Amino acid sequence: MKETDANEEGVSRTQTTANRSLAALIAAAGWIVPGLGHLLLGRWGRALIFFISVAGLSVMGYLMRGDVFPPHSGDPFGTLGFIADACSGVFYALARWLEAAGPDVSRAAGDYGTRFIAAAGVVNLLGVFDAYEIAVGRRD
Amino acid sequence: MVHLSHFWAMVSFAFLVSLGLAGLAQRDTLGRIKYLLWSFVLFIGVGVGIAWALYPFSR
Repeated sequence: MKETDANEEGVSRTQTTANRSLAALIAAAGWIVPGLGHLLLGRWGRALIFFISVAGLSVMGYLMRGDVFPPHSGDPFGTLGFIADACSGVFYALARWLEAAGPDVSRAAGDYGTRFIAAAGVVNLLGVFDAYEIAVGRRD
Repeated sequence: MVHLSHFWAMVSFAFLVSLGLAGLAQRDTLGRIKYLLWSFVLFIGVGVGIAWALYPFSR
């Protein structure tokens, strides 16, 4: 009896680890392409909403010539900005093409654009956490 | 290159962030629309309220 319980516990633990690994992959997919994590989980409505929200904020931020923080900015504010920007996944990688003219924060629009780009990353990060929680079964 | 006024930058930011939050917080379409509208109105209301409160200090 005790041996059966131990076996079941072992199987359950293995399944939990497998679920978490799969959930981590889904979360990573959602980070790289906003909404992809939800799409893989069959939540196409949520996937579309996150993609439109993150893409809209990113593209508008770049078109307003907002500042994109590089990985090694050298100060804590710049590092936080980089983390926020990088959370928008593929849109961070596309920054050099979407903002070919470079940032211009001498005008208010450029300063607003910086906030748009950072907000895109934060919204996508919330989406990544949501996809992970759904994948591990902690959220509907 | 986009030239948005302060107001339209605020409106577009409020809409896009509210859309993301509505998708996160609600499951059904009607709930999402209500949440989006409420969040959008709050964003704009708080933004205009802060701008109005700070206006005397801008001169």
